[in-house]
Amino acid sequence: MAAKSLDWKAVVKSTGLRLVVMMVGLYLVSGILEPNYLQPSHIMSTLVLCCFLGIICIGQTLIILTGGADLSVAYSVTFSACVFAQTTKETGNGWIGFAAAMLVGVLMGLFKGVGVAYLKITPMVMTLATNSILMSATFLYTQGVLKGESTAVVTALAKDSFLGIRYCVLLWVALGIATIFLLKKTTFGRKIFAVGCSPRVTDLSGINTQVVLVGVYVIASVMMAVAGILLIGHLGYPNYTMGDSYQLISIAAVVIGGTSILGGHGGYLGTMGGVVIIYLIQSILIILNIAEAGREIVNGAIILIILLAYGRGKKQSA
Amino acid sequence: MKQIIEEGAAGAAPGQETMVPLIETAHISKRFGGIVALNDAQMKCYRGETHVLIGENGAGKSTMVKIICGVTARDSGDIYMEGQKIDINSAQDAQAHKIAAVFQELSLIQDLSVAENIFLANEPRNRFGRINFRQIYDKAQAFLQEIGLDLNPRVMVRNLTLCQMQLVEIAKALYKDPDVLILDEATSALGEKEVKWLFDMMHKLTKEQGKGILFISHRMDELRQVADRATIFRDARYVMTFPWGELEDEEIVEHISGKKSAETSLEKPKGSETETALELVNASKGTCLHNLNLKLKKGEILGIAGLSGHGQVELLHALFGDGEFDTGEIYVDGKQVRLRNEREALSHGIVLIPEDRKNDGLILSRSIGENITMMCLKSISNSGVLSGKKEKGVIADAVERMSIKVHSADLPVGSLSGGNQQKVVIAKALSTKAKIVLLSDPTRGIDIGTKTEIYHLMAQLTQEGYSIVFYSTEMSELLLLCNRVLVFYEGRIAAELEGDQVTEKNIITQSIGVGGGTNEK
Amino acid sequence: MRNERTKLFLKRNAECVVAYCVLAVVLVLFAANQADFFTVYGPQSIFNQVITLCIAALGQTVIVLTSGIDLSVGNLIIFTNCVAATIYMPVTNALGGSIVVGGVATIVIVLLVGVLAGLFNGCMVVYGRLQPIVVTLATGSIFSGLARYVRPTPGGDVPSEFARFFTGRIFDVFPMSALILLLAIFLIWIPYRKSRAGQALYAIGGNEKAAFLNGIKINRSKLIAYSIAGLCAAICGVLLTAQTRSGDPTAANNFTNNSIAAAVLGGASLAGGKGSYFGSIAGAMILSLIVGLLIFWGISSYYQNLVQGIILILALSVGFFTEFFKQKRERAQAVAGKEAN
Repeated sequence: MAAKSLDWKAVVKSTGLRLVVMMVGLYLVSGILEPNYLQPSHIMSTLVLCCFLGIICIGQTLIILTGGADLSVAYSVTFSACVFAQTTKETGNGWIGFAAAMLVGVLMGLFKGVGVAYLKITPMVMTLATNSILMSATFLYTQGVLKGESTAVVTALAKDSFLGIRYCVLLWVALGIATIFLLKKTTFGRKIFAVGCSPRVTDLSGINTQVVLVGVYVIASVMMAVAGILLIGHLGYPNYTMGDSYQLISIAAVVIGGTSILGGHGGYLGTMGGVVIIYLIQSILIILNIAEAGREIVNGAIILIILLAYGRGKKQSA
Repeated sequence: MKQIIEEGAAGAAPGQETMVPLIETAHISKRFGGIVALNDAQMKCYRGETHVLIGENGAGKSTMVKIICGVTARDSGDIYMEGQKIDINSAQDAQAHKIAAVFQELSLIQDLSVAENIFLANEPRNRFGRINFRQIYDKAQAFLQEIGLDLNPRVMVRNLTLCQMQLVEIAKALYKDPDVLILDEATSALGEKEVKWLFDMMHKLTKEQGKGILFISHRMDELRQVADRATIFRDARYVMTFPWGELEDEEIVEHISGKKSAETSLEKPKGSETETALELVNASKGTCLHNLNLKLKKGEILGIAGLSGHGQVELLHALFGDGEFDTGEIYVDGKQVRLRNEREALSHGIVLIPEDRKNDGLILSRSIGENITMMCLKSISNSGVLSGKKEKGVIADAVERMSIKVHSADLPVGSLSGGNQQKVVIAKALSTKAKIVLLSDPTRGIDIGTKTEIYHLMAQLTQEGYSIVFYSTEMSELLLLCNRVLVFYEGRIAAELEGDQVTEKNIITQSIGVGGGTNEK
Repeated sequence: MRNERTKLFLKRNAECVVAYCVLAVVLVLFAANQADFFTVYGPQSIFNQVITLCIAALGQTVIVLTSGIDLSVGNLIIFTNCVAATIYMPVTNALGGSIVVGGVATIVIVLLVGVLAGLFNGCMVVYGRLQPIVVTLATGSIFSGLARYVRPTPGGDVPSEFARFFTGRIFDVFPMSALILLLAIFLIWIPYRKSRAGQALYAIGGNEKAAFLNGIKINRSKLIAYSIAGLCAAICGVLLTAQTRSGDPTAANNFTNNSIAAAVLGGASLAGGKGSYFGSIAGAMILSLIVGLLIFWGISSYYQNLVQGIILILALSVGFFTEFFKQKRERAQAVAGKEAN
């Protein structure tokens, strides 16, 4: 009996339940404010918006789990998107564009990973510097003139549906399941958590922390490249600021999803919840017809409130 | 006043009931979540005495002193100082009542200098609140000289040895000129010379200046040297207070553990005469290890002794690939190998159980199971995918073999007591099936019961074909378990003692560099 | 004794030596390229280029020292900039039309806004017990929204005298920007560094638990730290107002990124407890002057971020490479020593 009541307490306190309650609550609020929003078609269009951030957040979650944070999201996404679009246009072959974007993803990951793992540069600074470099790379690559286009396959991926569900949402769910599996059921996942908790202990346990870190950054950057390609499919053309808005919001989504910003604790399922919550808030703000100024303020305030509700640290004690 | 001091100096003077204790706690209770750390506990310490608190890990000693110095908030109970009820809710409150403490875990700021650390939060200031740094250095210099420590106050703490850091920690507490000085495992990183310095200091404080000292240590020989009176805690409760010397060691152990102590004498494993598990030829590393030659026989426990900071820890870490040797040859089972990193060492069947279990050995926030399987991920997975069945098997084996007392292997390791944590560290290392085990001070700060279990385990392992290199800061352990002991002095092997040569006297003389050495060339 | 002390001092500040070496190179290149470098205009233009980032970096350094990071500083600068540009004339008119009185009042109000904003960050970190990075992430969004609210469109009315005062020279010799930097150092940083709250900063960043055990007032120290960071951002906002004579809520700004980069370039450790004002200022100067150099050399502005990023990575790799070569040398020495035997 006592054990049962204890379990309940744990459930009520768990991040999962809170996320679900918050999602349902926000969804109902948006539905009450604007009944159209309860329709499946609108749910789907919200999910489509979610899937770009969601795929970016796969990378962000992995990196935050290792105790870092990626501040190069903006131009990792933009640069790979530009490479995809431009290469596709120049060669006329979408697959070559895709391969080029993937290659860019791997190279970006190697660059960040080597800086963090081997040169021992703090992840946030390393990614900050990488962002600067990628920004220049984007401008140099495009020479200031954005050109390029999507391919039929990628556009279909972003715009067409299968049984009423858009392909890109399906892709997100598939990648999400793969990520959760990676974290929970593989030795690599174990190593990611270990590195995030204590690189020293991990090293002394005979785990090659450097390889783990490089691996994480490569996966993360490839995910950002995938998101960049999908965004091209969604928007139809590249854009210098297409990645900017994801920079900070990706960190917010991960943290709202219950992953510790200090690393070592959390998971991707929570992040998926965090992503959905962020877009539900956005849609409510749009319904309320709040100007952009107000939206930013409310956005920031809500993130703070959510975190105050459950993301608080322990009180200092000995 | 004077009279009180003299009476207090008499230690267990019969007239004590009539005296007012310098510091007294009554009916102290404290819970951490579901765990009761202290239950209606009490203690009294008089002026002029060194009062030792003894008990197993998790018995409540540390919690008690942390409550007295304000870093842990008590749930209920009262604290009295010289008969006056006082309220201590923060470290500042304790300081105001002239209570200072040195804790097991160091509380120094690595990137500040020695002097800045000594004055931390008590910096001398001028009228405008501006800190006078020159004064800090001058005063620190004078103070360090006065208490007889040879430390440069301008050096950054980061650049000190662990032993020196502990000394700075002690100096910091002493500088506050406390009436009550708390030393919680403060000797764990000190060498014998420094321990003697500390004990002299303590003697001066109590017997000459009439201060009170609360002392916690797991080393019986240290308690014997300093204790005036002792209070025993067991399972978060107060058991008894007695003048030191009134109880025999066995009786004390009985009260601590609540049961009769087992006789601890073991057959010393001598190891194989012919087979060598590990051999080191002319190995050197930087400034800390010079020209080491050693042979580890198969199935033996090779003791490593010496004052702390003479290269023992570096040797064990280097053998595990954590900081490679610069020169020299290493042979494992007769084959020459290189140990450039931990993974290479593991592949040659060498595993280290590090001395700092909280920072090097365990991830306290992750589960017991995850910690145990951390080093053997390959054996619990199929091509990178974890197998729940295999994992459960490995964990169950380890929990049973080490008799780790735990409800569920899913609990975080941090929720275990020190002794059980150490068992997890050992289980984790043994799960690798590596046959050469490097044990670096495995019994630091753990209770007597677990210590005995570890000794038996070590003896057992040698019979199963394991070979052990055993470094300990506690000489009695080496005397108990090792047929061969290498004594380190300034990064060299000063002597190799074998059989009857392994005596306390021999180890001490060699470790302070006056033995002439039997191994010098 | 003196010698040893110098050695210890250098050891303690080894990180920012690199920054000053790079800065020296940059300045030499500047001198070679800028015709009026050695006239009164040289220093004036240099300090006008670097001052805003220097001040922003000082604020960032304070937060970095507590082992936090301030991602809101850029938006706070823009917010205070918008406030200053918007209220200047109304305040002046309300106070009788004197632009001097109005300017002073505006500055006071803006600085107050900055301190309050910083204090808000601090309260969230201290009482909310949230991680600084997520707090400032969220408040950054709030500040940006507030900036748009105060100034929906770019613009504002700032008298040219105000601009000339802050970007000009005193007695026609000494650049005002340099004076402001000195004032910021001597009136804010040094008194702060030499107070107990400043000393606590290093202790908290170095080892918060140890600081707690030592009885340092952690909450108070952190609140002060965040307020000072807010103050620095507000000063930066005022200077930006003087330089641009307007407030622009949509302006792309690199202050957040560059202030972090400057602090790190100057030897601050994001882990906390390490860093200094002279290091951060050197870092900020390098990052701002590089832009000028690229313009001199006629290099496309596209390269600007590339160069800044590479400098940051190289500067941070210095520690790794010195360690690597030191180990290699020691090993070689050990081997040589052994062979000699």
